[in-house]
Amino acid sequence: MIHREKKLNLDNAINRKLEKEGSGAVLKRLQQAVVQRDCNGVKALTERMVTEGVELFEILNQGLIPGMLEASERFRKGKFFIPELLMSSRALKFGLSILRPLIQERNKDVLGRVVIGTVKFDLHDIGKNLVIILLEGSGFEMIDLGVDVSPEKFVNAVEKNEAQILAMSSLLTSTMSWMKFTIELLQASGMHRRVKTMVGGAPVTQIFAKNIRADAYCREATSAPSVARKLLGIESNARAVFSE
Amino acid sequence: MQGPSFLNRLKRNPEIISQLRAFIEFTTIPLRLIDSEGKILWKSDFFRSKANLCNILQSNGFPPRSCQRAHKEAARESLRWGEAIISKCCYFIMQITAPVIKGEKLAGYLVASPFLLIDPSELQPEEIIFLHNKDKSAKKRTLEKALSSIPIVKDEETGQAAHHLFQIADRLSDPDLSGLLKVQEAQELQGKIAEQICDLKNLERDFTPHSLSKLFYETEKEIVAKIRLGDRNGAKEILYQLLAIILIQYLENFELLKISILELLIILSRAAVEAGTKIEEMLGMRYGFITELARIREQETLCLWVVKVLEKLMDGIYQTRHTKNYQRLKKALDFIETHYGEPLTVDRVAKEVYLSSSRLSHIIKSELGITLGDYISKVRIEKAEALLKDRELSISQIALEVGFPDQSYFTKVFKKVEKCTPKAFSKISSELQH
Repeated sequence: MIHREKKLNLDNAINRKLEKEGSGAVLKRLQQAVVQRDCNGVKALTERMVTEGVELFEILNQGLIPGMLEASERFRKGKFFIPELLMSSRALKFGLSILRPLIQERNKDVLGRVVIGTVKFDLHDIGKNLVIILLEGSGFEMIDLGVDVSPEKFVNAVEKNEAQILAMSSLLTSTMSWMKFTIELLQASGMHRRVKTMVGGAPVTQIFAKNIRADAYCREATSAPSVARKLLGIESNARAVFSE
Repeated sequence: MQGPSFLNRLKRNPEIISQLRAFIEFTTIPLRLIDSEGKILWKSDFFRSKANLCNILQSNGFPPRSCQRAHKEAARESLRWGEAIISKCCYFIMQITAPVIKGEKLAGYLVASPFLLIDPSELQPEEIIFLHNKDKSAKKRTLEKALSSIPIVKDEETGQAAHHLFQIADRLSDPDLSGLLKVQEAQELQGKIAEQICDLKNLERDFTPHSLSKLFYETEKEIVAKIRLGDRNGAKEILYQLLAIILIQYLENFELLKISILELLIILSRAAVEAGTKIEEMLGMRYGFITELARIREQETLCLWVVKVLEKLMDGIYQTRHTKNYQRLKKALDFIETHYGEPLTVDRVAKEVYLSSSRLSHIIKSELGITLGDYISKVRIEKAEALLKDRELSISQIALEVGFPDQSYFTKVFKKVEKCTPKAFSKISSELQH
């Protein structure tokens, strides 16, 4: 229990320090707390920023998510092992559990419904999960089909849920063709007129997205909300989805 | 019921049992051997205690079936990816799973669990609440005690344990898991290519066919240089880059993909000839490669095959180079590669590698087919081209930088090699860039 007390003192110290810093510096520290797998730090910093009135989406988009992206980048570079990655995602969860109810309360009007999934299973579907968090945070209703989703399953889910957007991610060049097959199936069933498709993932490029006739390409997880809004014509002044 | 009886026989095998015990001793993680129906065939002493964590969780209302499902799903994944899978089996409690196969089928699996990634005292109260499940009155102390009795395995140790478990599964399997290792090899390569694409994406905002072919041309020169130096690992790394560039362009068009790979093959084999493989040998090898290429029907196999081709080419180079002449030659070439900016004469290079000038000239002529002077010029022109593309230095500066005494001599040699002046070259390459 001594251990807990120590942590508590540490939290107080964090809070005291916070008062002196601007929100930019605190966001940076929140980001680092996720990378350092420090659950208490993530909790304390998120709570503090919420009470200080920092915009919820900013905490998400500039604090928690970049932290998780950095952790997965470290994993990719071999600097993190699976346990460290899992621990970062655990720390992220604590921050999300504070933000989620607040965001849900605020976003009572749903911007649109998105069906999402990875075309093939990958142990680390982190990118997809971050996109879910970000889209939910900006007011979309998310239907997560999980991993290893077949074209039929995607198309059925779009139809059943009357989704406006279908989002697919793939992590291996060998499974990317499944995005193409899914889009072809949408076209064959005539559903492509009712739903917009967006694709992303480490090996997915804009050239590929264009070739398979996806409606939008998402370069990185953090750009997903603006791409999705643009697809539904909500953001009038946003950049073109495809920059030529 | 071939599966279970097969495993039953195995679990009576003392050698296997001693390997399982060694795993437990080494990693401290409890271990179970489970057949494809979910029946436990062998378990470590941890599970003999009534108060073990899994028992307590089940008495808290966790259905044993959900544990079985978690194990089996992980086993299927490990079969699919050709490696042991590290995953969660119940909230933050971890498992490592490796498949045991009989024939083509999953006969059972090894499950190393439960273990934790962090000290239980670092767990948050809201996390532990989950473990009480429906039964809120469950005894807190019993649970805490059970939690503190399971091992904590940190960071890279889990990776080592996973590796160890896969090796045991390999021995238990019939045939062994080498078929799965091939799967893993292909997946690993796809992962590396995906990483390269991701890196390229970070470098450049948007690709155009033009920017990609420029990139390909530049990267191609790098791999040729690596092959020429006999740098196997360096060449492999660049090959992944080249495959990434090709796949960005032609992933959904297999015919074009194959043609680009063929082109790459020719570049690689030409570089191998430059590096010393005899032309007659290379012609035979090339013939073999082209017939093999014709038979390949899918992208994954194609990529894996190109890597194998590079390996073969490098082997060929290594064998030729193992002669005494090649040791000397390599030394001379390495020296030129690092000292091209200085005034180089045959005498100076010869002195560096302890040969007479005439002996060195003879070796170079017979092994590379060109004179030493021509070779030095070739290296210098290559370096100059890179500088011309950067457009940071003037042509006279570049001439001095790469070891020519003056601009006019540089221009003369450049024209002889590239059939255009350095200025024109710089202009064309800058137009290509924009």
